[in-house]
Amino acid sequence: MEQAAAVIEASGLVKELGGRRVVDDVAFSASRGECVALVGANGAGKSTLLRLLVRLVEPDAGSIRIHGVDAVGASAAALRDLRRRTGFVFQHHDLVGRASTLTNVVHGALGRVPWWRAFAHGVAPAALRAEAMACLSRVGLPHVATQRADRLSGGQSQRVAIARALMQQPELLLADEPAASLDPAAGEEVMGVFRALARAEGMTVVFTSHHVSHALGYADRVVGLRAGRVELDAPTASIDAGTVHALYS
Amino acid sequence: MPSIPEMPGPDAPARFERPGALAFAIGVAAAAFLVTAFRATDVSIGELLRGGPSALRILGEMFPPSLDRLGPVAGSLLQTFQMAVAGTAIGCALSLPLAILATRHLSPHPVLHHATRVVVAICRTVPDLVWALLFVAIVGLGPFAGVLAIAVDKIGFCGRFFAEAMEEADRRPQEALRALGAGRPAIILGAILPAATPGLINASLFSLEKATRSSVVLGLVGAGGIGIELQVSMDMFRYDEAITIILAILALVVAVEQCSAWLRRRAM
Repeated sequence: MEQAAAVIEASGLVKELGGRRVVDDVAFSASRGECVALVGANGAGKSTLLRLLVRLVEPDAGSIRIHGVDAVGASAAALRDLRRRTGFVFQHHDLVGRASTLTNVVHGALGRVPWWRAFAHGVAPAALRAEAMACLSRVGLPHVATQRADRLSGGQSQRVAIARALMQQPELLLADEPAASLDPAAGEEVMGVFRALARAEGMTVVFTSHHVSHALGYADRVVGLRAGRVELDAPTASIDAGTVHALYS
Repeated sequence: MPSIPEMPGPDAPARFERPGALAFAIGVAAAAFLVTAFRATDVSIGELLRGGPSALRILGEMFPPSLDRLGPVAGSLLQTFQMAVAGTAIGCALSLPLAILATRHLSPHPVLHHATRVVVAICRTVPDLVWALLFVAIVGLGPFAGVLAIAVDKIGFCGRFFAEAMEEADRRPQEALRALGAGRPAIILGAILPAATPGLINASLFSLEKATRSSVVLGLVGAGGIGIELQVSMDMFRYDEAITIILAILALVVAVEQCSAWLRRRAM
């Protein structure tokens, strides 16, 4: 079978924080349309690895290529372009609370249009507003467009954060424990959105999770970290819950 | 239930700690300075009591308040408020870019950050009456000098509080925008200003309240407004006119404070 081209590829990644190696010689890759779960105990290095991939945290060593572009040596402008093409959903959604839902989604275009056309939905051109509404529809929330973001429920907020990421027109979506602050039903809902994006739209999705059921239920491949090193890298179909649970012992 | 045996406890600590030699010396020096301050400024309960009859006479002459000059007083009061509004608007508008430069993580360079902080501190530290004297010398007598004095004073106040509001804004949405490729202007307009809005509105409204009070005093040095009316009435011993002006000022200040409090509640 032909190996799909890697959308993201990292090798030899090292990051020390507070005198401790939180990411230690990690190699990682994900192909187009693949959904990868990063699992591991608290402090295993999952979130740091995700942030390293788009240089929200600077690596001490190693290489990262996103869409074939060297991310470590990228200039500020090139890095902004890489980030524009890479959606990032945070654990606490990180929406601008006092802005409307639609403004938060329009923000997703800030990497590809001039700032004065996307810092609020009121200044955005009609086409951009329509695109933002379409993104909100994809996550099932067009009816909350005018609501303030801090009035949304946890599940709605996370879906709005996904809509904001979709507004970037990304080929790669990274999500840091997107279901951690949600109740089980909202968590399943959000994970369902990720799976649909990977399966139906060919987007590459990488998410971290403490929920073994999410990793096994929604990902094509599970990468397990322990003390900053990769301990497990296997297709979901070839492992069981016990294998993943062993990472937490 | 087992009982706790009664035992004599250890001695309680001394009621007061004995001060160290340095603290004692500082205390004595401060007390000595306080005594000299009272003596040098002729503080005297006797003088105050001897002034009692004069106070009662002035109070008697204040009532009933004179309404003879109600028209000019109302005009001057309006001008006072207009000075406060114009000065606050200019001051707040100039404070915003200065506050961005004075905010540590938004300033393009540490030198610019510190230099802006110094400028804002100078605007705040020099009293508005001194600014008024300076601007009267530069642009001449009249309300424009007062507007400029208020504007500079507001830069000192709002520049600091706007910067604090921006520094306290939640960093996580800022990181989220940075992660999607947004630049500094987009992060400021998209994430920081919306989060800092309550702080900005609060500081602006407090500025307007403060400006309304200070614009009354600025008139005393020729910078326009109702202050000059008050000074003339006092100089001519027209205490019945003076009390009208004082009551009008009181009404204006209370009205501005009430409106400001209402707007603050709405903005939160």
